[in-house]
Amino acid sequence: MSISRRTFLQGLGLMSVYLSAPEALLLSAKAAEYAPRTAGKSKILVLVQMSGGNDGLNTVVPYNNGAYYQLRPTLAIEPDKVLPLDREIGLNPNMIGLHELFKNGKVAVVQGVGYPNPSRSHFRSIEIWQTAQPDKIVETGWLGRYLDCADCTKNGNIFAAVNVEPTLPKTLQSNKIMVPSVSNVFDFKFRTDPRYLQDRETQVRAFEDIYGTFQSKRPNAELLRNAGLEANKASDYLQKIVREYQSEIKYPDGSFGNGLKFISQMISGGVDSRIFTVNLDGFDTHTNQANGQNKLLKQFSEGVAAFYKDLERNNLQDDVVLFGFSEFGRRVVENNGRGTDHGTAAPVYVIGSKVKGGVYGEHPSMTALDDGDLKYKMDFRCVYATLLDRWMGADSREILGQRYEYIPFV
Amino acid sequence: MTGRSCSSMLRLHVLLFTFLGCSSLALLPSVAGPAMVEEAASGQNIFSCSEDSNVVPSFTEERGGEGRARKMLLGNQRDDIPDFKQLKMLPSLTMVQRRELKAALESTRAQMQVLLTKMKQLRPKSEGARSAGRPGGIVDPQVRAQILQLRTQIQALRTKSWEEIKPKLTQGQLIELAAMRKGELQPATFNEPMTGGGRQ
Amino acid sequence: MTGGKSDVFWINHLLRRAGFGVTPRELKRYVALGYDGTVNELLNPENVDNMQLEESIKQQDFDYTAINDLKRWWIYRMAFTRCPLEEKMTLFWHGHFATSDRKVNNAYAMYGQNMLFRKHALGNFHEILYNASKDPAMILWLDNQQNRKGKPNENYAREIMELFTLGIGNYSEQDIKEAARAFTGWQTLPSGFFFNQRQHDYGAKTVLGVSGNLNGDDVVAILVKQKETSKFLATKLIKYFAFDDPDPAMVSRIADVYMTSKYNMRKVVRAILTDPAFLSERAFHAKIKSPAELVIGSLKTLQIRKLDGDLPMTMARMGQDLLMPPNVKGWDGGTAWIATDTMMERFNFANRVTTTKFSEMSKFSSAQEIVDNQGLTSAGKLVDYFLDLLVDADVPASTRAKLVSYVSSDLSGKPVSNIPDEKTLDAKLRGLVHLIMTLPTYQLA
Repeated sequence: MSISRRTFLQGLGLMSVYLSAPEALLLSAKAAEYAPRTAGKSKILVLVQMSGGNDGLNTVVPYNNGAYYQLRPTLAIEPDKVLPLDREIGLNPNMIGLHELFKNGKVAVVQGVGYPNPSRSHFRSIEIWQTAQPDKIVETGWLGRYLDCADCTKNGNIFAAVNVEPTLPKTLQSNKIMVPSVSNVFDFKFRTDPRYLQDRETQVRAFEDIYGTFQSKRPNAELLRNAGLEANKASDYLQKIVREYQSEIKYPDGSFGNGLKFISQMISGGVDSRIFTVNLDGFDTHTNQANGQNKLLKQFSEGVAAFYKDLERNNLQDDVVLFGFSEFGRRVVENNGRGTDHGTAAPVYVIGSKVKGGVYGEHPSMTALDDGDLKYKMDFRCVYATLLDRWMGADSREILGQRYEYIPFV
Repeated sequence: MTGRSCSSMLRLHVLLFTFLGCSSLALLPSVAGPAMVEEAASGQNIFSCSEDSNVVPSFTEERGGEGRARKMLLGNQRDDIPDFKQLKMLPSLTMVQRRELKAALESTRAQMQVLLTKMKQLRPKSEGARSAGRPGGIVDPQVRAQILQLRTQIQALRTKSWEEIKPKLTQGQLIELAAMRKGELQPATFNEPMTGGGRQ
Repeated sequence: MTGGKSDVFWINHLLRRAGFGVTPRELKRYVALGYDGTVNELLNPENVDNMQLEESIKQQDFDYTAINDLKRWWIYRMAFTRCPLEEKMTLFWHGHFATSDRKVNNAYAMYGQNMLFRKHALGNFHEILYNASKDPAMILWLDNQQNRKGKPNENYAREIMELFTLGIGNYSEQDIKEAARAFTGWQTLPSGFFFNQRQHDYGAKTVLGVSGNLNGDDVVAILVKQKETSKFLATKLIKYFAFDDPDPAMVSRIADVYMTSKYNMRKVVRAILTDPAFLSERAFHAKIKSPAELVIGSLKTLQIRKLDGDLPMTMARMGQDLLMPPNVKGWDGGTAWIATDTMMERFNFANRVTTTKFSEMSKFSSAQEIVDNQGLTSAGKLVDYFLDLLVDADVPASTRAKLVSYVSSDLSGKPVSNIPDEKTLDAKLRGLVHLIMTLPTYQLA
């Protein structure tokens, strides 16, 4: 049962009158220049969605817990292989880079994060994390709602957030702005016939004129119009940024590493974005978990370490916090295929120079289970509230609908 | 919708197309000038390779990705060693054969991995030549020599694996492999009418 | 017909929705059949002689064991078949039972699954669900290999209810657990489906209120007859063919056809294609073209016979990677196709088509000939011809005016009253088609 955005926002008690989406987009399309971001002036949040349901127990390993070894005869990780975080838990051995950052106090691991009546459906659960609304289906994402309230979108800044993936996650679904998705900046360019370079200017101007005044009563015409304008403008801007900001830091191969690298370029290049989202896919390890998950965790760890180093090179590490999460953890007992099935609570990871590193929250009980699954201890909205209020300077009550307890990691 | 009449739309869409010879170069008359409507009942089709021509549609050689990588690994040599990945798809493969195939590949896996990594590292160097507009040929003789050497080594490993596997397959299966590649082998899909439809 | 529009108008609309667009010659043939005749032909592909396609395919020498060749094979079929609705429904089933070769890693199994969907394209839903559940690619994709007595793997049971039949919220976790037990032992060997009796849980189960020693066949039979299934499928099909926001009344109408015809998809699709709502102003240009519709439609309208080998990748970058859907939910479609990235990809596809494809034609005709032979003696006529051809002239007057002034300028942008030379005409022709293909309207189906 989906409710209209307007009704939801009214329910949240938002007082301000907002522009309708097309009106706001027209405003952004008309803006000539993108004003660059001043270092230190605003805080940036990088969201890493670990898609598929990352098995928390093999990422943050309870290496002193007998039940863990009993219930996972082939999957459990040996205590001497684990990279210790404290006396009870340690990181998967493939996460060396992340462990280093932890030792330097830059990583907060929040344990047992989940929500009541958990869904074990990928789609519903990730939607819940993305909309921060477990009880009903809504159309906006929690960071989309942040963008609606924040002042970073006021002057039509379409780069208030950037999604470095081909598909926009619901997290960034907003009323006011359409967040651009740029997964590959080199292909992101409006091309014309290379043999007739003189005509390019005329064509591009014709395109802009046509799009500037296009009006049609077809249902999706306005959306398409704004998407076209934005695509063009965004491409010019990003080409320039990437040309001017190169990096020698080695990122892991693949779209996740490339994504983080591109994000780092955008931050260094002054793109005035508050939020970046990137995906790391493949965690749905129903079979042969060890193989798949280890590779992904290695990618995650190396990527994050490289990203952090890159920021340090440009002295921007104080402005950025990276947050990694998954739609659910996995079942405690391993299944028949050397894997695990969909579960519930799991840890989340918050990384940054301004993060108060350490282990937060309680580890869920390995014996008092909810039908084979871990019972959550920390509502994920507490993490969101902390990030929104204490890092982004927003009003989480407006965005999440009520107050949630803070966790002192930032 | 703009106010165009339906009949003129019909006319434009239903023009009969026949091939006309080359006409002499003429200039486009003025925009504001009189509309000289040549309502030919027949006119050349707007694009040459039209449906009226007898050209059978086809794909141009694929650009980038799989084909180029494969070409780099194997060069232009044609051999009768099948793609091992293809072999795994053979519907008539028994579980025993599958295990044997896996074992045969396992023995050369580590060495093959090393060669593939080396080849992968050479790829950007060869791509430089390509993107500079030079077709096919790799310009740097040192790079070319390295690639040729790697190819020989890869070929040796593949031959070794094939010699282990070949005797485990039947003659019929080898014929099936060729048929499968052409889509002429019945796929192993379940495709049967329901029997009874179960209870309820 | 409705709204005073001609047969041609609605047949174009029909072929955009029930197919991937038309070439001029195909359109002529359909117009001669009339709208109803065309609907009949589309709904009965078994009566159409498609040998020419099959023979052309043989000449292409596709490698059915290589996934990228398989993608190309399918694009070829979609572009040149005489049975477009059959292909469109194959694509629907592929999106519905979304299985990705990224995990299955067996192109021949994907080929088999694709042939299954084509065989049952307009068949009986019970049969298609039954066969899809035992399809090797499906079993590998949803881990049913690992679903064993005593250690059930719930993946298939969950997805068959959530995504293939009932839709989310219309079953309980208990139903899933029980259904998983019913599917135990359903495995696949290289040779195909294999019922592993030793791994099957023969015990008593209850699924959606039905009790018994249920097996997978029983669960399939239970699911197809549920009212929720009829609504779920009806909604999905209306969205696929008509518009993004079906009203409850129409969903009910179509769901009823599903039930009374005993899951006959041919009747269900006919009901949609002949529904007054389908032939209304509301439905015209109401959908956003999927990448398949955009790419293949362009090939057809512009009669392109030489296809680029990397078309599958182009479509993937627009958000639709054939045979590799992003997840088991398939493609959401509608506005989900539109993001800044994918729009840019569409624009660049348009550019590629108007630059490299026109080059293919330069051996046979020049821009001047094209213009002369169609009697396109003014910029206005030139613009109108292509607006008709490409977007049913569904653009505001300001757009048409801007296109006319684009054409009536030389290469440096200066307005002219006469196109100075062949070279300029060539540039302007390409530019015009490029601009039209980047219009918002061109993205609409």
